[in-house]
Amino acid sequence: MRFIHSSDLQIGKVFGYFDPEVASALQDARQAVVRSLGEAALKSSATAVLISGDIYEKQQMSQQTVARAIENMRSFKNVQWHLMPGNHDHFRENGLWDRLVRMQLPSNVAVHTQPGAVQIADAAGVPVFLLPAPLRFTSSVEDLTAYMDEEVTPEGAIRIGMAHGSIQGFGSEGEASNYVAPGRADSAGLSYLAMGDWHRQIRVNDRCWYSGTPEPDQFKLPPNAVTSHCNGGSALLVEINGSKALPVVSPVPTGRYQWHRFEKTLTEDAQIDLLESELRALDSDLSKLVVDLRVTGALSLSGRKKFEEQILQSVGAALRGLRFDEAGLVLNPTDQDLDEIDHAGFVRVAADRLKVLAAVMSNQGQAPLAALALKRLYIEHLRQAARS
Amino acid sequence: MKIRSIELTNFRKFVGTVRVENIGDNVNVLVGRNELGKSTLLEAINGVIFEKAKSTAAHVKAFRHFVNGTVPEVKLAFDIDDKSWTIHKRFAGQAGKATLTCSDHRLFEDDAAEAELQRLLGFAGGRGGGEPGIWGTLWVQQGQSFGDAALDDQGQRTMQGCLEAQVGLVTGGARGQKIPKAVKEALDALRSSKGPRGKFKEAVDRLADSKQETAELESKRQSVFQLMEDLARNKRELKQEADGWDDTAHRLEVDAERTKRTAAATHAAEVRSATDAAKLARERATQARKSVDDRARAVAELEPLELQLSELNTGSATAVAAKADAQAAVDAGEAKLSDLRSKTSQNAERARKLERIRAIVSLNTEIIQHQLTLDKAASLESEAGRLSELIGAIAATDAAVTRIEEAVTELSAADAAMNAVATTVSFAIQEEALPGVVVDGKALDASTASLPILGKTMITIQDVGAITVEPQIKDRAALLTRQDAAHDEVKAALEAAGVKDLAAARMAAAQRKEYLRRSSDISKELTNLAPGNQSKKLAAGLAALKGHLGKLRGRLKVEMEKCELANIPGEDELASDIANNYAEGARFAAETETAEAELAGPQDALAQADKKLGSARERLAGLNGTIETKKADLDAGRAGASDEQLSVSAETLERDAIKKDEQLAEKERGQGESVEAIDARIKRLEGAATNHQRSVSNLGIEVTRLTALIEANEGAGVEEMLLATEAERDRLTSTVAEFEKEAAVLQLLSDTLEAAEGEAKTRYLAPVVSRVEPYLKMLLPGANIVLDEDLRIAAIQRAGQREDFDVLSGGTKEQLAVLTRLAFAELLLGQGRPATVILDDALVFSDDDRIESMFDVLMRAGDKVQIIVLTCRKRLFTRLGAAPLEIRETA
Repeated sequence: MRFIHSSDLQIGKVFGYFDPEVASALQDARQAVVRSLGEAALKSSATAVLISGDIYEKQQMSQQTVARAIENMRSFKNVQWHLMPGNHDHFRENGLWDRLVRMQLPSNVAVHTQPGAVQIADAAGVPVFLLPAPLRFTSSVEDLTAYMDEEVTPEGAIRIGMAHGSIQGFGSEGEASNYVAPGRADSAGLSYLAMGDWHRQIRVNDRCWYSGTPEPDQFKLPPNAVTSHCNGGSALLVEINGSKALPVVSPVPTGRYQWHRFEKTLTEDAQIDLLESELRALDSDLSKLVVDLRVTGALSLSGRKKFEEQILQSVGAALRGLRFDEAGLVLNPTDQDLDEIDHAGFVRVAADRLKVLAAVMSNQGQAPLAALALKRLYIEHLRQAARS
Repeated sequence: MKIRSIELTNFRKFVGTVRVENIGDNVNVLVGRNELGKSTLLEAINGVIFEKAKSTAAHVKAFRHFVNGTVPEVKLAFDIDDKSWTIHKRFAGQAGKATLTCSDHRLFEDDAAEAELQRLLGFAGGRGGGEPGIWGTLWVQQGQSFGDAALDDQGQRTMQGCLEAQVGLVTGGARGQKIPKAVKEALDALRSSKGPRGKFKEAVDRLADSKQETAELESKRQSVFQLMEDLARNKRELKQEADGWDDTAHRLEVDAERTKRTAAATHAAEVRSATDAAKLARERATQARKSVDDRARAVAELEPLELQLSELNTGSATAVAAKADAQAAVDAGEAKLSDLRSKTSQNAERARKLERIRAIVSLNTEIIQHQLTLDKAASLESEAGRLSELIGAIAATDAAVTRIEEAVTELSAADAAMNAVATTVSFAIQEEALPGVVVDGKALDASTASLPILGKTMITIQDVGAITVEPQIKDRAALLTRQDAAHDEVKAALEAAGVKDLAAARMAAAQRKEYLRRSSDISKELTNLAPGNQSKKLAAGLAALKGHLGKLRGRLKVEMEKCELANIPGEDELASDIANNYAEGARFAAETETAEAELAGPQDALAQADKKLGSARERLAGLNGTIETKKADLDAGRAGASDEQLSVSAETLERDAIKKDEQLAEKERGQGESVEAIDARIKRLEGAATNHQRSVSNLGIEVTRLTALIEANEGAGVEEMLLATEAERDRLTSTVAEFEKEAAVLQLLSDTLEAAEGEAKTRYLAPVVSRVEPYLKMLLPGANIVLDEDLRIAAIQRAGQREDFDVLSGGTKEQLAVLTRLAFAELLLGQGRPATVILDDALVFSDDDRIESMFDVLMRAGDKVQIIVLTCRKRLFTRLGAAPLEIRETA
């Protein structure tokens, strides 16, 4: 049996720290990833897609949002979709999941809101049972997969577990709750335990995997990351050949956008060029990229201007989204900067004063303001120069 | 520039050529009457410099003579940069001509002349004529001098050039001026004094809206979840309601209860009937038994009553006897008491008689007392008569004694006077011889003696002879006369007193005094014998006493007659009678008291006996009545039913009652659950059914309602909207924060620029201020000038108070304006550009003191700057002490 394992689509998630237009594109991508999963299934001849919780961001989603995802699933007629509540969209009486049922789901979409083994396929005569552990609350104290140990299925059946939460003792990513015993797959005789909740793809053991989110949504790097690439963006293709056989698991790319995170310390103007090159080298199509750029260090006013022009206004414009933080960047006006403003006269006097004010480190409130005021004066000067 | 001379030909009012020359380096004054053309002269200077010779402008055409309209010409000679120049213009419109010549033999004509002139004097050329720049400020026309020394743009540039050359670049140039403005505009666009504006305000408002919307959505989200929970609960309850209800069982239960109720109701009616019967029988039996008992009691009651009656009769007789005994005792006691009261009365009568006798005795005693007094008075009067006689017998009164004493003294004095002149003869004779010595026939007293000898004295010595001594004494006769007179007086005085010597006189006088004293004493005693007695209305004096005594004797006689008293008894006897009588009275009183006490007992006994008797009689009457009534009742009862009959009837009825009770008890034992209990259960069961139905119905309605509400709300996707509004809120929050930061940055920048600019201006204005100040001190000591950035006078400060220029007096304004102009000229001079200050009819508003000060200022400034003063005030301006100029006509 072949299936695609995914989780944490969190359709409907919003990105308040981006402009509405960017946020809207990112939201669209989460909705569109349903199609990517369907296509990945078709491409790999998988017959099912298992989504281990958090299909939706919240419970009270609009009809448009809810139905669009289901309609996208419906269109993949030959793919059976198995959905289960996670912590974001946990089961609640008369809530989202009841509503889905009431909506008369397409035949290729099954929701699993109760624990208990359900036969989902027959793989060459071997029945395949799905053992879901749906969440009824945001957070549960007990291990919802515990029942699987006792759940009876016909002898020789393939048992596939589906759970949403944290693996006990396995670091703490995501929301550290809804614990699942690390040896559950073995203890419950599962061929595979499809985990959801963590947005990074993780192999817990041979039979237990986190698929990660199919479309990235956070500027979060994996531990000991060597690149700027953030978590998420792929699903897992799982092949199970018999109840005792080890599953064959391989990642499948699904994400529309890549999320990158940069933390740079700039101390001289030349580093701006380097940064630009680095950003441009990420992908030939910068519009696929969503970047978090945190700049620290110190730049001259002209350096800051150069940064503005080369990074923010050029590369930045090409990116799908850019989150920029220069709180750690100190403006360090040079004499040349000041001379550019004026050699003499009261404007220069004011510039000199602001420079002094900005350099007083103890003056936490005023110093950054003074630096910005100086930057503003510099810009104003350039603007006046451009006019005259 | 320094003006040296000016020549006008056919210019406005002047016909022909007039000239002012020899204009000095310092202060020059042109004094002339009104209409002389001083202002025309200034107009000509302005015209020749700033107006082009070929100008066709109306105001240039107006240079022509008012009447003949001939072509005007002006020629101005001036020095600049160590060279002398002359500009000569002929204002003939298109045919006009300008010639500029220099002492270095350069010559410029027409446009070249105009251009060179502009360059030299640093003003801007224009089609309508030159803009005078700084000169417009320094050359002040009539009526404009009291205004502010305002600079036009060109003038300001000139001054700025001067100042910056001196203090360096401070303004930051044109761009520098624009930056603060741009910053301020940016800040103003963002924020007003009232708060955020424009986009900032929009963001703030939208944030508030967004927060509101978020809160509303959050509330709605909760309410939708609540709906879901409510629906789940209602469904659960509905299921529980359905599961817990069996309709058939309920129906059967109710029917069974109703059957039970019918049976119970029938039985209950039977019990009630038996109860009534038993109760009736019991009542009858009780009544019959009561009749039997009543009869027996009536009989029983009569017996003790009759016994009681007999006892009462006996008691009544005893009481009558007791009363008679008590009455006898009382009568005896009362007789004894009556006797005692009669004796007491007699005793009192005797006591009163004895008291009257005692008064008589007392009266008698008084009479005897008075008689004694009168007797003593008679004896005393007799003694007084005897003493008067004795006193009259003694002649030696105190005065007689004094006469004797004075006479004796005089005699002694006369003797002494004789002795003083007498010759003393001393004798020392032996004792045995003494009797033989005789002086004038007298023996000597003693063997040794000294004798005074006055006259012829013969001392005879027995057996010896006689010695005659005859001393010779002066006034012996007078002395002897005095001695004789003294002897006579003594003798007469003694005779008058009836005594033989002074001692006897003194003795007799003492005796007489003693008699007088005794006579006086008797007299006093007599007076005291009858001092009178006010209480008895007895006046003092013996006569009164005698009268009183008579009255008393009369009264005594009457009282004795009244008391039938022949003799007055002795006091002791009387006192004894009185004491005896009193003792007898006291004894009667005691006996009476005892008798009264003795009577109280019998009286009380009598009252008791009387009361007892009354009570016995009352009770007897009552008891008789009761007995009679009871007997009547009993007789009547017996007439109805005999005692036997009553008893038999009671027993029959009691047996019947017992039987009825047994029947009732049997019925009650057969009774099961009460009808009420069964009714309550039926009611409960029916209520439960109703409740069940109502509950099912209500829950069904609620489920339908909640389902509909959820379906109506879920499609909207409240949480999704909430996510969107939260995102919007977060965006707006950071936008607002950005705006706030930007506003703070702009504010800081603006403040910093403003402060720097302010300081720069102060520095920039300093040279002007420093040049004005020495003059200002001369004019207004202690005042400072405040210039604004356009070099205008903004105010002055006096004694720490700022006074705006506008509010100063016209005179002060004009004076300050002149000072500022002088300062400007000095600044120009400092830059190697000497300038001329022309004042046309200036200082007209100045008072005498000020104008003197201004003259001093002008003369002092004139050391450095060329000043030309045009005035019509000849007398006043002669005090200026400047070089005089004249307008001269030339051929």
